[in-house]
Amino acid sequence: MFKFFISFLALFIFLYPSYAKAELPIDKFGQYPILHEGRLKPLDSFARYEILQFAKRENPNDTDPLTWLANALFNPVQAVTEKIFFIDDSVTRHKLGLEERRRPFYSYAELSSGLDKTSAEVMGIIRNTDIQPDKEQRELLEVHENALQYKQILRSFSSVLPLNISLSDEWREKAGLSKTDAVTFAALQKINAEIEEKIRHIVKQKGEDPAKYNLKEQELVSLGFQIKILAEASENNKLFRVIPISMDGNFASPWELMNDGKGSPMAARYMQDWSNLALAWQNQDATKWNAGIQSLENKFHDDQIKNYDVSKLWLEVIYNQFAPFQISIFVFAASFIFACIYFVNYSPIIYRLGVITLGSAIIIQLLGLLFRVYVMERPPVGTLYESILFVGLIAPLLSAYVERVLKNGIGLLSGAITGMMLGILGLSMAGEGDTMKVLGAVLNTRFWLTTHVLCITIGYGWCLLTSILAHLALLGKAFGRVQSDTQDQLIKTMTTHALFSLLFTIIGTILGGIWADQSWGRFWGWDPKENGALLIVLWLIWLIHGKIAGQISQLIWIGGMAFLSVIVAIAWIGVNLLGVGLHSYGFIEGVFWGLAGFAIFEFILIAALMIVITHQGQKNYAS
Amino acid sequence: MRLNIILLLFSIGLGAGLTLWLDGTISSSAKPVSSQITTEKISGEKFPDFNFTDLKGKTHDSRDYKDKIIILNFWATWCAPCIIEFPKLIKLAENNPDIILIALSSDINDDKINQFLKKNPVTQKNFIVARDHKRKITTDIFKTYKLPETIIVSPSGIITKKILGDIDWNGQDISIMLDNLRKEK
Repeated sequence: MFKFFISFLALFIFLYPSYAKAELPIDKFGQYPILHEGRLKPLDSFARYEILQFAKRENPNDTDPLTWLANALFNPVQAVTEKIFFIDDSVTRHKLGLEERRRPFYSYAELSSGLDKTSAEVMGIIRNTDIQPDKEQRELLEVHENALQYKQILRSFSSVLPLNISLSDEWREKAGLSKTDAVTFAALQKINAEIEEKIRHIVKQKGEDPAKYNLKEQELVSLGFQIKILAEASENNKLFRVIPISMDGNFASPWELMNDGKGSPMAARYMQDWSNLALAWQNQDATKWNAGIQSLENKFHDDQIKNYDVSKLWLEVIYNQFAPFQISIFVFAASFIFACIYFVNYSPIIYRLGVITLGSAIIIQLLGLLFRVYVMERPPVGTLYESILFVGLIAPLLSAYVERVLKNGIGLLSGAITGMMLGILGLSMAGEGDTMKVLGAVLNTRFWLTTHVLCITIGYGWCLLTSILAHLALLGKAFGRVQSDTQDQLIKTMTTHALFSLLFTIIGTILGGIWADQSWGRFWGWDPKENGALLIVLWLIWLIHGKIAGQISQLIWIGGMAFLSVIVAIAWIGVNLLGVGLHSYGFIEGVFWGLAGFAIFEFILIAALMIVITHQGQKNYAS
Repeated sequence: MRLNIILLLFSIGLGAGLTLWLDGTISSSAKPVSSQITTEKISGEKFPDFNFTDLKGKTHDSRDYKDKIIILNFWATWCAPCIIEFPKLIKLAENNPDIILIALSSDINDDKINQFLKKNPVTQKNFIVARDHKRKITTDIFKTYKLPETIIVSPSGIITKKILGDIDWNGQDISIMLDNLRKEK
């Protein structure tokens, strides 16, 4: 059985595409740390997030993200021609003057004239804060933002990369350059003050018209102009923070060392290695490349920089490559297929396969979450995306427990459905960027993230499981394919789980109120998220009381529990779309339509099943 | 039902354990009290070894000033804030004879510095004025590009502060900072 499990997993691992890799060994380069969005992460993660943001995929040109990043950093001339910008919207393409092509990928060079042409429009959109930008304007803004970010990456090391500037022997000597040394911006900085002074002197003597200058003076003015252009282009280039400037974990971008006075002897040593790496990449010199990487690694080891944890960085690279939450979707899907087959032929082998795959998917999901807890050093749920991942573990885990008790395939099916659906939802919510972002100050309290947030998300998971069980009960009743004792067990299990759903959501809501009282000074503020949590509690209380009091039929009880999925979806995801309240994450058009579609689909499905069941009941009564 | 209660208690226990474990990983070290100078940051690394030659031709080694507070000022005669700051540094050296003040100029030749020093004479023995030849120390070792910039080194040879721009060198903040560094001895 273990052999089967290994070969099964191997099948999914081999489904992953292998990207074209660089000639130089790049794996160690991927483990180098970068301070990005408040967190020290490996370059591998940075490369993936950036390319995903630009191209909406990790390998637009069949090149692995790290090779793309290294090329953009060290070979920007070639990188500007790489078609990495995915522009899906035809209006935006037209505005930017781009040609139509089957795969709408464009290079920075192709975009540049369009960016200039539309910069006035973009400035207008940014300045006009009273009006929300429409879809086309948002698309244009996104292209400009991406282009700006890419420009920062391309220019990250322009201070140490060789420049196409000819320098006289006199200036070379003053800059401390030999005849064979490449001219770099950093070297030019040593003579910049003297150049500026000489230019001032020339202008004072001969005026501002270069036609009046002799050849030597013209060359000098041209050199001064080139240095100025380079300096201006580097302003605010703070994206690529890879240079440690002190042992307390402060990192700076190469340009911050020059422009913001963040240099230090430590920074100088690291910068030297990066310069060597840049040259090694340009010359594709594996020996110097490896030596540069090794030297950086040794420095990090010797300097004992705060927050630098080589094992964490290595583990994050493994996590990126393994992509546990994507693999778990496939394994949950396999479990779903086995569960469906089991309900057709009741084969014990198929049942076992279903249980094994469900167990495997849960383990993969759990490992993914444990990794995130280890890296982020906080409980697993702090964002909407993380709550989906967590519920994606809880609901299948509870289903597995149901299966352990009932042993009739119901838990298997419900676990596979919840795991698969939440996995897909998580994938769509992951967005384009770091899913392990540092939380805001108010949210970042470990106690409340462990108590309130975990409690309420366990509640969501239990609600979803209850809803799935109710769906299965309705389907069983409507089509009569489930044996009556199984059906009874199903309804009984659903009722038990409804009580647990109420328990966790009510405790979670009260804990949330206490947290709100501590953070915002009030227990209850009628915030949409608070109202959403209350909505679930009220829905469950209403149905449970109705059932106990005998005021609602069993069919309405089951139908109401099935509809709990919609209530949870509104409370969990829907309230964030309102754009108001302290919990709001803003309006996302795609999510809104997805949610609306889900609610309508559920309403129609549950109503149709209830009508079929009622109709069958009347027929049975008549016969 | 009993099993359900056990599972529930297990979940709560797991949550509580997780909280304790996560809380245990936070170090509760107190944050250092920052002074009122805003253009500074703590570096905490060892002051590097380097040589330089002063305007009188005497060669110095940074290791010569072991066990002393070193104030390394990067400046140039063409830098307006540096010129404003310079007399304040002279006064600082005068008031604190136990510290070593090194003013390392990025000027291209000694003439301009000498001209400047005629107007701002430096007589204090603890104030060394030197020219950084080809800016090797300023940019290659300290990665300093914008002037003025000042590095403060503790008697134990650790870079404790880096000050960007011109500040009041004879104010209370600097006095407190120097007193604190003296206590390190």
